[in-house]
Amino acid sequence: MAQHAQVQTTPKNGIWGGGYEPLGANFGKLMMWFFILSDAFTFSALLISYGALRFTHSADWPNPEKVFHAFPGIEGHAPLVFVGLMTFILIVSSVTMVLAVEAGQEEKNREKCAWYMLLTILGGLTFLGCQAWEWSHLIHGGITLHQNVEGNVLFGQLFFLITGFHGFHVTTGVILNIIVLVLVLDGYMDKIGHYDLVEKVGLYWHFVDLVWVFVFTFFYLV
Amino acid sequence: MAAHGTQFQRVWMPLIILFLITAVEFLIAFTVGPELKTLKVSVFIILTILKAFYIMAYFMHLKFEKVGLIYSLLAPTLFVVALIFILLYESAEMPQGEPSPKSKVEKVEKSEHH
Repeated sequence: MAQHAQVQTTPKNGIWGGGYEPLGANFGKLMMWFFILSDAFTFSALLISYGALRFTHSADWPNPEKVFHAFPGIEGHAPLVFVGLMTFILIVSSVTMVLAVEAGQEEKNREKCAWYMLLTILGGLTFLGCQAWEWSHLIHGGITLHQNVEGNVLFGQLFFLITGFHGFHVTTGVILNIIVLVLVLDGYMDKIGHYDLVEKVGLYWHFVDLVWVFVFTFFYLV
Repeated sequence: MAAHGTQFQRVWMPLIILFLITAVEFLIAFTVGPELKTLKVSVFIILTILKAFYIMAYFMHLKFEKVGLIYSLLAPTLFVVALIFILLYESAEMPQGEPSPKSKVEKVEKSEHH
């Protein structure tokens, strides 16, 4: 049976009178959801603007399959393979995050939760490493914020802005996950009797994965 | 509160579905040509929204939360989805921009490119 922070199970002061969870989620989880919603609006604004700019500059917009065709250590043409790998890594790290939350909340297994958190962190760091390689490859290939050998300069500007903003979220997500991992190992979750904090950072991590799914579609496929 | 369904149903099945949808997206990206651009883009967006719903429902556990929470998050998201499609339509009416000037472009370390 999943253990959560203690709260009234029947509303003593009416549903909205306080001391109760009207939407079935505790304060921290609810606030994380609403923060995620607001962050989703920000990313949506960026991606929708990307859409508008991309389709009003179709004449010299580079073909993603031609731009994203490199793979570290391999000579030759592997269109979209590297970004497929990045997507795979991030989605799998989301799965290990789910398993970490379940290990904590359902099984109260501190060690198992910690292992899965570690795997999630490693997945996030690998993704960041891949993104850094991708950036360095593009910059050395002539696509920067100021110029674009493959076509319109807006492509590089939007790419670095949006993947950079996403990468910033991945970085903060990894940092939060490291903090929570330390707390898990320290026995803090057992001390307070619930693993809710793991669930909350889990929500943020899944949001990061969710945004990547959209960024990947808009930049690499469209 | 016991876990809803088996671990396969909660975790691995959504993962398999996500991979399958991604595989379909790759397939469409490589096989469909530029003539069907609007259809292709719409299909990509719909498939991506489908992936988003799976991630939100299973990984973020939203499917098993209270209905009030689901609606309070879904309603604003639907506005965003509408905005995506509105923009796609409107961008067809917007005037095309100027191509970038082919100024002096340099490739950094192009010779050492490996």
